Amino acid sequence: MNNLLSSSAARLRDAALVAALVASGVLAGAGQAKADELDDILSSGTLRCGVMLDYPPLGYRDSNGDPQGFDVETCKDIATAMGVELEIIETPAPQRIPSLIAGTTDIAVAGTTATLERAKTVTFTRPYNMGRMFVAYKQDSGEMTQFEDLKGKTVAVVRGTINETAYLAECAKWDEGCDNLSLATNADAVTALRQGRADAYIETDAYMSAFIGSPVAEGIALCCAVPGNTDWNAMAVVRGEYGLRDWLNYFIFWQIDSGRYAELYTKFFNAPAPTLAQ
Amino acid sequence: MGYTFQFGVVLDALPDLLSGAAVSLSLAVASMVVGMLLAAPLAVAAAGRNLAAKAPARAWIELARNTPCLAQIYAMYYGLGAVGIFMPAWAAVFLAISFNNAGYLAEIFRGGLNGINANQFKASRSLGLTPAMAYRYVVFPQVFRNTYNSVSNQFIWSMLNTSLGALIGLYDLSGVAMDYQMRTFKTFEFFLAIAVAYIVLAKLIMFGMRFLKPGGANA
Repeated sequence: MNNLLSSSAARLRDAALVAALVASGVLAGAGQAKADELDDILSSGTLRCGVMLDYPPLGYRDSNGDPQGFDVETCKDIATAMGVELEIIETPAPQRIPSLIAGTTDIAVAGTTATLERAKTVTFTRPYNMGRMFVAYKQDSGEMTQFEDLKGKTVAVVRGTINETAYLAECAKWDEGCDNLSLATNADAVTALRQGRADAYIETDAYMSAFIGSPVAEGIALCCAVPGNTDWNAMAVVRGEYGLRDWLNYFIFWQIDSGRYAELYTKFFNAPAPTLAQ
Repeated sequence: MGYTFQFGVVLDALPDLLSGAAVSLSLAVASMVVGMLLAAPLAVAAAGRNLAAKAPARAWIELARNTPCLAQIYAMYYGLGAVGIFMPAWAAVFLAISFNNAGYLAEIFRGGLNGINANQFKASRSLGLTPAMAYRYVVFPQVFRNTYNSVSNQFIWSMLNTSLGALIGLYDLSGVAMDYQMRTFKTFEFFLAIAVAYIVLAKLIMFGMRFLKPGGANA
């Protein structure tokens, strides 16, 4: 008798539990379908923008320690257009995507090269900036004036970047083959170049424009562009956040159309703005 | 977190991950062997009264144990690079972790030496053994037995420390994962995969160490 009672009580409890789970699942599902990331940003009143602050002139800290740079200004414009407060969150290159997926940042405006491989993991906007890759060389290693002068030289690149990919694609065609020194960060690559461990270094024009002429680049000169390679930078959002992506695409369209893109580009790169692909 | 894990890219990268694991494991084994060979005389010198031997041994042990392993690797790679001595990433990691291992193991062995009755050494000497023979055949076999667990821990710790080599371009397990995560942005998948791989490597080391245990695997 006792057993019967307790087992039917258990069944009742289980049924209630299942009902509660189903109800909460339905509610959660309904909630997800309505509010997307764009809604979340607008209702929270703050845009959390992930920027690389070790990559001038896209992102850096001024003498007061405040974030500055092309990407930082772009984030400010986005927040103003959205009508929300801006919070800049520093995300070094390897942290850009994990912090996006973990929800620490809402968008990444971090000089991210929009490759098709990466687009399988995050959703990219249309390109909001572009760059080209340049070769810097150590003057002790002999003068270099064209990309082919890299034959037989050791070339420092940051592992996994478009710079490494571009070099490996070109040097594979040479009799001398490839001699890449793939390191973890730009700081490591610069140290290797300064010490003479590498003869040359490939980075985007964004980085080179701030690097060449700075005290750390003593004895280092700019050679030439890497032929036929364009670095398309796009903003990244969590994959599937199409509402936010579409809003950002319109933002980028207006940023270019209003002349604001050209203004920011000239301010930070000291050069006329390129034409972005449509 | 609205994120769908996709481990297909990890499977595609499996050959590179496996060769990276081989790099990690072989560096760990090599630097552990060298570390132990260095640690034995270091421990004797540090415990002894001869100041000419004791001072450098103490300095080595203090430096190895009280500076970050990353700084030791950078010192080998960039520090020596600043004076024109260039070595590949694997050599810098091997030297730095051997140096680190020697310091930690010397301190472990010194503790083991304290547990051996000093009269054993004197007795060996009176039987005609040279000091080197006395340590080799009488003292250290007992030190190894007493410190076996601490030495195993140090082995695993140094294997995990080889992952720091990825920062200077070493293509070990971590280097391969960093490369692929930069190219594909599949950060979670790759770091989960290598977390499992490091656990497997650690278990392999524990398994291997059982056969080196003084008295055999079942002692």
